[in-house]
Amino acid sequence: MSKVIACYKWVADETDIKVNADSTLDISKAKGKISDYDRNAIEAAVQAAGALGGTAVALTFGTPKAKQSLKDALSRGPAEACYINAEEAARADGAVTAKALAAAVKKIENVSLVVCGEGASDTYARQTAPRIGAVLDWPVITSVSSVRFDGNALIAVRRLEDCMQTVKSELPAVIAVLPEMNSAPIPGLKAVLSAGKKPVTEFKAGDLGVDFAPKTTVSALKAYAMNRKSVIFSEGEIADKVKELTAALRKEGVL
Amino acid sequence: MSSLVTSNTTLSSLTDEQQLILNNVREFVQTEVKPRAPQIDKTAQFPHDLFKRCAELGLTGLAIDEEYGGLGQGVLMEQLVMEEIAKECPVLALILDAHLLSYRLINHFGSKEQKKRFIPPTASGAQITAMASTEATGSTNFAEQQPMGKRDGDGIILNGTKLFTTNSDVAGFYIVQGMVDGEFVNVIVEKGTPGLETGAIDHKLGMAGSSTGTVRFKNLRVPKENILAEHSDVQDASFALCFLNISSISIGLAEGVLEKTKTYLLNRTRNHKPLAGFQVVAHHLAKMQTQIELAKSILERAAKLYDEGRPDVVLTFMTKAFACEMAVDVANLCIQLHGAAGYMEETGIARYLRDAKCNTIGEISTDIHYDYIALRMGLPIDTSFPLFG
Ligand SMILES: Cc1cc2nc3c(=O)[nH]c(=O)nc-3n(C[C@H](O)[C@H](O)[C@H](O)COP(=O)(O)OP(=O)(O)OC[C@H]3O[C@@H](n4cnc5c(N)ncnc54)[C@H](O)[C@@H]3O)c2cc1C
Repeated sequence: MSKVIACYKWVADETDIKVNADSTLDISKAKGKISDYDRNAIEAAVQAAGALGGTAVALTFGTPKAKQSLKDALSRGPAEACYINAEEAARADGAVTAKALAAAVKKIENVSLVVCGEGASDTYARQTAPRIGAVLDWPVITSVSSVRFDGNALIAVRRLEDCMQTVKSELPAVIAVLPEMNSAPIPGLKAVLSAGKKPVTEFKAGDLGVDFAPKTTVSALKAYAMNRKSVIFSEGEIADKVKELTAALRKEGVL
Repeated sequence: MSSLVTSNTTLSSLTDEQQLILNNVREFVQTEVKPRAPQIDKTAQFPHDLFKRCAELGLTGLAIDEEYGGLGQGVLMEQLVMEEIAKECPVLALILDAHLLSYRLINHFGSKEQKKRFIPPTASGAQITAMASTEATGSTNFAEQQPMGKRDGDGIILNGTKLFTTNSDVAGFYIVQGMVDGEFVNVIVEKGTPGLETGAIDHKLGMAGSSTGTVRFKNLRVPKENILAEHSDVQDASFALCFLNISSISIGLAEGVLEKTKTYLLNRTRNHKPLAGFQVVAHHLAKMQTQIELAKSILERAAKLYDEGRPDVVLTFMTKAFACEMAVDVANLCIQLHGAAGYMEETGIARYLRDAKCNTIGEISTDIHYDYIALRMGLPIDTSFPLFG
């Protein structure tokens, strides 16, 4: 039976992140969570596995902390999970992440589809799906808003800036899905309680034969401040006020 | 603003699965319940959609034994879930509480057959259930209570009216409590039984959206199979569990309104400084947080004793009296701290006080709880309420 893989990232919950006085971020008290769009990716993989008559597998590349994500991921429907447990994940860039995930996909074997979220809720780099496709030399379709299957082909509708594009690709393929893809339902309590009984395969960094040295490093991470200008356009008719507002926005480079 | 460290103390003893359940319930409450809560309050329409969602998620069977289709999660978990729901929509938690109370009575007093028949639809939420006990003479005035029926062969013929029954108009079956031929009985009356009439009160101070009303019996025959094991002992830990549920609702309610008030006061300024930084205001907030933590502590202790199989009924009474009165005080002060904005329904703060008031009366009023505590302290309290044994 073919496998449909959902790649998900275990990220810091942004509601717990504190901004320090010097604009640096304090994530020490932040709880982890499955990146928001990756929930849609997991649901999309479960649905695709249903349509293809295969099984859905949740796959994550993370530090030892990400282990706590497995039951959550499994409660969302996949039949099994794979976890690349590597301290290196903390410093990984897009290339390293994609190499690690692609290596795991090869180990899992018989994979017909890899589903990623369009971007992660922490970095939103949108690199994982395209780079996995590059490593595996599989077709990649990003910004996917819906999919259907026709034999061994996948037909995806992509939401682009000003149009909807329908593309067809042979399987295996890699797709990156938008949150509109599905509603990523909240798992029922029964699913949560049975998640622990599903099989989990753990890969260690050394198992994958991947060079984990990142080519980019993060040199600073700062919150940006939002300062209100508190400008009120109160003179004249509505039309004048709108003109003034648009002129001001243009001046600021917003329009 | 992230929540307080102390709010997580309870959670240290939870399993991964329980923590996940709570996260999911929190998400359900924030994304599906919170947007509906003001509307339910305004229209006073029973939230069938949300009850259905609770059932789909498994919340209607959370603490029910797995043997009967529940999830067997125990009393403490049920309290944490109630609390979470009540933060945004106390009435939804109240509806679940009334539903689960019926289960508890069947589970405690029912035969194997009765449990097999009535508990699975309760666990799955296929049927909403209600418990009808209060009569016109008063909920705890057993000395003056009229008989609600007569034995007739192996069945019972009911005649009479029960008041203020939560879920009165929506229930698939009712656990009816009262006196029959000098004995206290629990019977199950199913919807559609000839002689059953129900009605709901449209206007009440709070908990709008719950169906509170009369359940009337006219020569209604209860067959033998629907009579729960006879007993004279209502002084029962199983019944007292409802006091924990209602306490959790009050605690969640207080947490919900305090969190909103804190956010408001951090953003509202006086002399260009947040009101929350004025010492008087800050102390009000800190005291309320302390009261909530005290209530949570006693509740957790009482719930754990149930889960360990050694329930302490006096502790449940203390929890109920303290937590439910506390929530009224907190909601009241939160309105005050909002000023006029708090008095306006649009801000969604006033609703908390109206809802909180229900819990100092419903499921036996505070004074009676203190009566019972006083009695257990050896004080010469005169009462006819059979809970006092
Ligand atoms: C929203 C709501 C939902 C409810 N749902 C249900 C339900 O599902 N099923 C059900 O059976 N009932 C239900 N009730 C009824 C509820 O249980 C009773 O209203 C409650 O127990 C108080 O009883 P009472 O109204 O008869 O008050 P009374 O007995 O008339 O008492 C009035 C007040 O007098 C004082 N008092 C009374 N007796 C004593 C005493 N012995 N010692 C000291 N002080 C005393 C107390 O201050 C008390 O609050 C509900 C009530 C409300 C408000």
